[in-house]
Amino acid sequence: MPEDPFGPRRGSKKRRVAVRTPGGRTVYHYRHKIHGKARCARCGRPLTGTRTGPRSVMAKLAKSRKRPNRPYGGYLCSKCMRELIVTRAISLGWARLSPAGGLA
Amino acid sequence: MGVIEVGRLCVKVAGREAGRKCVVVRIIDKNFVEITGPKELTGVRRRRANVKHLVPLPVKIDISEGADDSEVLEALTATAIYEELVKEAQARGGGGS
Repeated sequence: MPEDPFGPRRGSKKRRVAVRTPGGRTVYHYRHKIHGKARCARCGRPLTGTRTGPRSVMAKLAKSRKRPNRPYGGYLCSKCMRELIVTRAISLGWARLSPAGGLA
Repeated sequence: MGVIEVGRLCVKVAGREAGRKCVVVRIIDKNFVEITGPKELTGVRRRRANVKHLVPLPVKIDISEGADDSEVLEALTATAIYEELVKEAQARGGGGS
């Protein structure tokens, strides 16, 4: 028996789409799976400013079009990044430098 | 506005300079201020910034309104926070940018 030219794991790698042929049969075509949207690692909300798509498309895009140009861009949402920075500024002891004490 | 005033040390919390420290050098209006790192120290260039993008720190340095970068740097050198800012710059891989 000849080997499947698409490989043995075609069904798990790709998604199946039912297509009705002109002869009335229903056959399954295999297409690329659709990528999920990038999500914030902390709160799980979808990230803004990020692109999704097949690798062939993503590889052609500039880096600046794939994630925001800021610390943790493309990993945390802006809100979580902001909270992280503020809590870090406090925990690193910037507050103790104040004569009055505490964050203003 | 209160705590956002000339000489106030802040953390930027938005944009590419997020997480970096800066100093307020001029109040433009109720929403905007002019800030500077200075760039060679913290990497924040002299620019206009929305006060919503700044978190004030309880540190204030003694500078006049509209002080240029060298004056700000000089005022920072005299304070205890200067060494910490230098340490942060080194942790980033040396220098401001």
